[in-house]
Amino acid sequence: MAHADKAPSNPVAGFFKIEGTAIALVFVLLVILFMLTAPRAFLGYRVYMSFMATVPPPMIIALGLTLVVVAGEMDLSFPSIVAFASYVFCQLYQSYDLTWLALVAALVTGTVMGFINGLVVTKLGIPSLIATLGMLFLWGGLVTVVSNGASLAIPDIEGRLIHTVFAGRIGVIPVQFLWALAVAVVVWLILNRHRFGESLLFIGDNLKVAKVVGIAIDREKIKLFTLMGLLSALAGVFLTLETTTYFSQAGMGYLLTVVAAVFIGGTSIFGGAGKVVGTVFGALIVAIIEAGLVASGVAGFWTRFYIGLVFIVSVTMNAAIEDPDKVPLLRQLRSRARN
Amino acid sequence: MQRITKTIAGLALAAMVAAPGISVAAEAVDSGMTIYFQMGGNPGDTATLARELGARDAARVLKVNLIEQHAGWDPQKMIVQAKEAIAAQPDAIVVMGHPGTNAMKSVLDEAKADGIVVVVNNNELPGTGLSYFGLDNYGAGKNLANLTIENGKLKEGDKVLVYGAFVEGAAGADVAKGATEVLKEKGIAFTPLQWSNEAVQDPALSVPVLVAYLEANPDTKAIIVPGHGGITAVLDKVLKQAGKQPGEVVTSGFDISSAAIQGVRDGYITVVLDQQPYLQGFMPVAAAVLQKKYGLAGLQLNTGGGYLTKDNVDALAALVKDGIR
Repeated sequence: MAHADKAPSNPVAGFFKIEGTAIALVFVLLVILFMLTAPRAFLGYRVYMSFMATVPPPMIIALGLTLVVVAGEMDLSFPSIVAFASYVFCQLYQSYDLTWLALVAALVTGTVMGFINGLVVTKLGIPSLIATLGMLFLWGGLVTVVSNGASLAIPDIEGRLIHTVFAGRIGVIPVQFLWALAVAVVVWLILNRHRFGESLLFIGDNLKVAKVVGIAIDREKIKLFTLMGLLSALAGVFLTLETTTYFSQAGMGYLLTVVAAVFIGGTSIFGGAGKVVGTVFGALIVAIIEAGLVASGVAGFWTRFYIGLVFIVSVTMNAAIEDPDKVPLLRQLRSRARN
Repeated sequence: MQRITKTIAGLALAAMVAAPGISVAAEAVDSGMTIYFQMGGNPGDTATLARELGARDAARVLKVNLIEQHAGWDPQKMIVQAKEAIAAQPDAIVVMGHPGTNAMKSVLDEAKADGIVVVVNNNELPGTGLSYFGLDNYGAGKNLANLTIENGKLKEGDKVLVYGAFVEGAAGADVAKGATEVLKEKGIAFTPLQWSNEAVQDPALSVPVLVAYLEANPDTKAIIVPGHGGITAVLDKVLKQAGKQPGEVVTSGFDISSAAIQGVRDGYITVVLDQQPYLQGFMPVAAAVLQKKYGLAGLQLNTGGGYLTKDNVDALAALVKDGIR
């Protein structure tokens, strides 16, 4: 587990052992790079405000997924839960002029869907990757049936109290970004300061040991997927309030970017260790890359190529800054240099 | 909607009455046919819903067993689905033309050998002579660019961003080609920017990209989105987040939606081209029945004559709410 890392040998190495500092440095370097290549966009404030308005939904989902991955599981059903929560919220607002109750209903919907996901994983014994892939289609199909495929627009919600509270602006800062940071703090506390987080780390690290020490595996996993459903629904509401629209494909574009954010942030794909702060910066990096490249004048088909390149470099730098020996190539070079 | 349904049903009936007599007309209306229908995108998305509703209405009127297929606009999946449809030996299949004539040749040959009627929808298969209902995509792109220039009062030397598909065979590529050729002809400088797969699935992800582009290129006079209803619908967000006033940057795109209507009403979106996908759903079903029953083939209809501006926004809003436009 992450807590068992060896003691750092010097102050700089020690600093980068602090959770998230390495990936934060990668993010800062990326921003500086874009300030140099696209000064008009990245020395102004608007582009950052746009990120802050757009990043919160995928960031909130990525935070939930971090916990799921820590437990050695995977959840791919979140795009459909995002869409379902968005639909419930929009429909209740449009038909009954509900705002806070619509929020509660959307969150309850996502929570119940997450709970059912948990039951499918634990009681049917289907591996979570497969089970949640199935639930992605199941929930996605259901919301299309329920909504009859139609999209809903609720532009008049702008100016209502709920919009101001969850998607308004404090000065120029989108308030939803502050909410996303608050969620990050809560998720960090759960993972690092709460018995539930400790159980997830145990389960992800070694299932047999977790059973031996008396952790109720199924119960904890159901709680985990339920929490993931809640956070996905919350993301759906944030997305809806920002775009003031529901459409049945809402959330689908997050599928790969959210997974990328979790792993760029340094959470172990094998479970048993997770970096919540890393996920926050991972989500920011994923969000900033394409916009940065476009503003830098990288046009046409090269954009996709460079996005992949920046991904690989970011992950490698994250590992190398934390501990150069984590990157085999660097380990070999250092070894040769020592000899 | 009922009026359109009645009109088309009336046309079908008239054709049948003019041919062999009332008893056969009843047979055609009560066709009992099974038709596999490729809807193109994903169930219920902005570019697909009206097509689905149109096809279902026609199927109800003509008593067709309609089986819908969705490919998420993936040309490869369209070929696979066409093969799956033929394997089921229906009376007719309605296919999307995105894979191209060469890629679809073996499928078309197989259908012909099995006596299965093939109708093409949304994107043409040139040289096949099959009935086609959809846009002249290339022409629609030209139309969109001309409407943008006209309504946005663009002139030679202005700079335009074209945010679309520039990969051959991709959905929207012909539209983008048509649009950019008009810009070239008129001497209007443009930057082609390929949209990402993620933005195609979740248009909110295109917002920061376009905001960053506008920040880096403040002299941009217009953004043209050739072919994506979802991205068209977030253009108002782009302008707001980039600190632009309504009309300061001319914007245009495809496919009418509730959000696009609001964008037009607020003045952030200038023109939206409407490919009237309801017709792309209704007409292929009617054409397949007429071809199977009476051999009436080679029908062609360009459905893309409509567009939305501030002048007609109120009239179209009600139809959009029902998913017809």
